Amino acid sequence: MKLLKNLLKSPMFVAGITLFLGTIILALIGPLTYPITLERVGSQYSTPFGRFFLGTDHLGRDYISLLLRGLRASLYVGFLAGTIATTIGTLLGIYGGFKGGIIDDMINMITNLFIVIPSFVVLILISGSFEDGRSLTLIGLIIGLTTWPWTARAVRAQSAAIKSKDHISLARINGDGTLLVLLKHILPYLASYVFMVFILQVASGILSEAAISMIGLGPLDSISLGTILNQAKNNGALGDGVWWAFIPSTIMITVIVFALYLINTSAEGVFNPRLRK
Amino acid sequence: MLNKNSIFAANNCTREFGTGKKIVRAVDNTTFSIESGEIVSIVGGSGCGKSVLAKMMLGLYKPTDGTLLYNNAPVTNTKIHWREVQAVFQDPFSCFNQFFTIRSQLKDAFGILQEKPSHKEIEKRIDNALLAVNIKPHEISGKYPFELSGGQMQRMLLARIFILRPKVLIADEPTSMVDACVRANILDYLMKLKEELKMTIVFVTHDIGLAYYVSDRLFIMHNGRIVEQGTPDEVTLSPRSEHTVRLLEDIPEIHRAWIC
Amino acid sequence: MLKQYPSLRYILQRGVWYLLTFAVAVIINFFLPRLGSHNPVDIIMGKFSAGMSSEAARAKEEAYLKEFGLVKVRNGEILRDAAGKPLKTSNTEQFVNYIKMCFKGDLGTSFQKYPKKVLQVIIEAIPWTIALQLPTILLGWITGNVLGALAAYRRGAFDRVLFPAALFISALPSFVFGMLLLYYFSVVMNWFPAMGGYADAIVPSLSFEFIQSAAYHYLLPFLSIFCILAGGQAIGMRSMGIYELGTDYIKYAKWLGLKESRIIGWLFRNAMLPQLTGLALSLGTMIGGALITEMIFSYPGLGMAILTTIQNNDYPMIQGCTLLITTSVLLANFTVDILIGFLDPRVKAGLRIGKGN
Repeated sequence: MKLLKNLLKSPMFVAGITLFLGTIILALIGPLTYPITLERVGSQYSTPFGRFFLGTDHLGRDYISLLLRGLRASLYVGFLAGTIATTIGTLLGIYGGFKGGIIDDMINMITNLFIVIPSFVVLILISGSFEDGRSLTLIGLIIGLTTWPWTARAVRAQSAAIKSKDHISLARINGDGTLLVLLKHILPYLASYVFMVFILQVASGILSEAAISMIGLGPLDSISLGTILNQAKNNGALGDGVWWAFIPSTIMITVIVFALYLINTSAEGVFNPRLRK
Repeated sequence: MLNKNSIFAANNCTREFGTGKKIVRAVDNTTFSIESGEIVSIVGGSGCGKSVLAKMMLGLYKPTDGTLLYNNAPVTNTKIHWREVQAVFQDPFSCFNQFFTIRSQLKDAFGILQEKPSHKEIEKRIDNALLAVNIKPHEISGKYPFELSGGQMQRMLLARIFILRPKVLIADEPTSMVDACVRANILDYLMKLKEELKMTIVFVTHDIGLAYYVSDRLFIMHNGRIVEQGTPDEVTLSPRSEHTVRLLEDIPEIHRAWIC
Repeated sequence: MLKQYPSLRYILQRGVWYLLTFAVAVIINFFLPRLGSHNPVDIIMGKFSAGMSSEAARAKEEAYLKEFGLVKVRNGEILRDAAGKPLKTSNTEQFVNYIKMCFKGDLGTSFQKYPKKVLQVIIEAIPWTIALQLPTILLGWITGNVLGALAAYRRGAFDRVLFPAALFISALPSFVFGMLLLYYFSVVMNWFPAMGGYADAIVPSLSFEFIQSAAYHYLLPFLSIFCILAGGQAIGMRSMGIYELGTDYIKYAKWLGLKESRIIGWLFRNAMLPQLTGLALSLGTMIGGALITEMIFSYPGLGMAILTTIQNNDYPMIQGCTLLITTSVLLANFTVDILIGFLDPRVKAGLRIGKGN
C-alpha cells in the first residue's frame, strides 16, 4: 500500500499509468461504441476528416476500425508474450539462483546461449515455417518463448543474492521446504523487480510483433498495429505521402511503449530510492 | 580426544564450494569434539570459515569430505536435527522476512516441532518467550521486522530459541551488529538459556575477548583450519599459533584488562 | 602452460563457449524451419512436382533435390521408387548434408535468383549492412553513454530535458522512427532520397560522384538507428551513473577532495562495464531492428535481401541469411566479451566468486 502511495506521488508513474490504462480502455471500450467494419466502405486511400475520420486504407477499409482491432491485437500479443516470458524466466531464475550447483549451471548455460542467439532470427525461422496457422497467439507464444532468458538471467542474480540472507537460513531451520522458501521468502523480495521486468517484456513483446509483421511474417488471422504498418509500406503509402496510413499506428505503438517505459523507470526510482531526487 | 559422548564430533571434516578450478576450501580438515553442556567459541577473522563450520553443524551444509557426527551419527534428516539444534544469526535485520509480521514468524518456528501444540498453547508459549527476553507481547503485536530496533530484533531471535528449547544453540556472531549495551544483554540471555535449558552453545565470533569471557573452550580458526584449541586461559595466556597472537593483539585495551 | 597467460586463457575459454553456442545456433537454424507445416522440404518438393512439365524446369528442381540432400542419390543419379517418385532422405541424413555444405562454405542456391549462389547474394549485400550498422552502433553507443553520464553527473535542467527525450525516443522502434524521418524529410520536404543506397543512374565505383550519392542516401537510415540507440544507451548510463554516484567510493573520493575530473573518470569507467555487458546482450535485438530499418529505406543491404527472400519463400536464402546474422551477432558478442575481459579488473585477476562466509 505504502509502495503504491509512493508510486502515485511520482508524476512519471501517473503519466505512464494514465496513458497505458487509456490505451487499454480504448482497446476494450472502443469496439463497443464504434461500429467496426473490416469490409470495403470507401474508395482507396480516402483522406481523413471527411466521411472517415482517419481515412481509409488501400482496400478502402475504415482506418478507425483497423486501428481499434490492431491496438487490441498488439496489447494481447504484448501481454501474452510478457506473461509467458516472465513466468518461465522468473521460475527458472528463482530456482536456479536458489539451488545453485549443476541445475543452476545448466539453466545458466541455456539462458546465456539463448540470449546471444538473436530471438529475431528464431522468430523468422519459426514464423516462416508456419505459413498456414500463423495466428496472433502463435506469434505471442513464440515471442514469449524466445525472450524469457532475459528475465531468467536478471531474476537469477537477484535470487542468488537473497539466498545467502539470514532469513532464508532461518526459514530453513524452521523446517520450511524448498517450494515454501521460494514462494514465501524469496519471491516477495523479488516481486517489485519481477513487476518491472514484466513491464519491459510486455513492451518488447509489442515491439517484436511489430518488427516481425514489418518483414511480412506477422499474424494471418488478425490485424495488428504491425500488420497495418506493413501493409502501408507494401502499398507505397510512404512514398505517396499517405500519412494517415502509418502515422496513427506509429503513434499508438510509441504511446504504449513509452507509457510502459515511464511506468518501469518511475517504479525503478521508487523501488531503488537512490535514483530518486 | 574423541569422546563417545560428544554431542558433536568432527573428523577431518572438510567443506568445499564450487567445482573444477574455481574450487574453494572453506573448511579444511577440521577435527574436534564438543561435549554436552559446553560453551565453545569458534574464533577467527572474516573469511576464516567459522560461519561455514557453524552452518555445517546446523546441517545447512554437508561436509564434502571427512565426517561430522551429531550424537554419534551423521546428520541425515535435517528436520529432526533442527528440533534439537537451532541457531541465532548475525544480522538481526535480515533475519526475518520483512513481508510478514514478527509474531507470525515466531509462530512459523513451531513448524519444526514434531507435534504442533494447540492454537492456545502456541500463543501462550510465544508470550512467555517474549517475556523471557524482556519484551511485552503487545509491543510487537502487528509489527513488521523493519518497525523494530536492532536490539529488539536480536531478542526476537532469542525468543525463538526460548520457544523451541533446543539442546544445542549455534550462535553465529549474534552480537556483532548491535551496540555494546545490547551486547551485554544478549550475552546475559545466552547464559540464561544455558542455565535454564542445560543447553550446549557454539558461539561464533571474531572477538576473542568476548569469547574468553563466555566460553569453556576456544577454537581458533584461520583459512579453514582450526589452528589452536583449548580453554580460554590456555589459549590466551600461552598462545601457540601466530594467528591467535594476532587475534589477541586486536583486542581493545579495556577487554584485555579482564584477561591479563 | 596457459596459467601464465590469463588473458589468453580467458579468450580461449570464451572462444570455446561461443563455438558451442554456434553449434547450437546451426542446429536451430536447421531444425526450427522444419517444425511447421510450411517447411523448406515441402516447399522444395512442391516446386519439384509443379515443374514436371518442362524439361529445363525439371532439371533445375532435380538439382535442388540433390543439392539439399533431400533425395537419395547414387552415382549422381536420383534413386526412385517403382512409380518413379524420388526416394526421400531422413531428417538426420539431411542434417549431415547441411553440415557438410556449411563446412564447405556453401549455403546452397537461391530459388529466386537461380542459379546464383546464396553466398554470392549475401556477399553483395553485406558491405552495405556493415557500412551502415557498424559505425552507427559504435557512434550511437558512445554518444548515448557520454550524454547519460553527463545527465547523471550534472542533473538539473540538462537531465530534465535529456531524460524524457531519451526515454521517448527509445520507446520508438527504430523502423517506426525511420518511417517518420523518411516521410517528413524525403516525401514532404524532399530533402533526402527515399530509397536505395545510391542514385539509380550511378554505377557503384570509387568515384566521387558515387561516394557523394551514397553518403546522401546514408544519412536518414543512419539517423534513425543512431538516435534510438543513443537514447536507450543514455538512459542506461544515466541510472548506472546515478547509482555509482551514491556509492561509498565516490563519496570517499569527494570527501578526500579529489579533482572532479578524476572522479568523473572513475565513475565513467565503473559505470561503463555494465553498459558494455548490456551492449553485448542487446546486440542481437539491435541488429534485428537495424535490418528492418534497412528494409524501410530499401537500403541494398542484408535487410532488403531478407525481405525479398521472405516474400518469395526463398528458403535457401532465408536459412543462409539467418545463419549469417547469428554468426555475426556471435562474433560481435565475442569481441565485446574480450573487451570486457581486458577492461574489468575482476576478470583480469580471475576473481573467485562464490565463497560465502
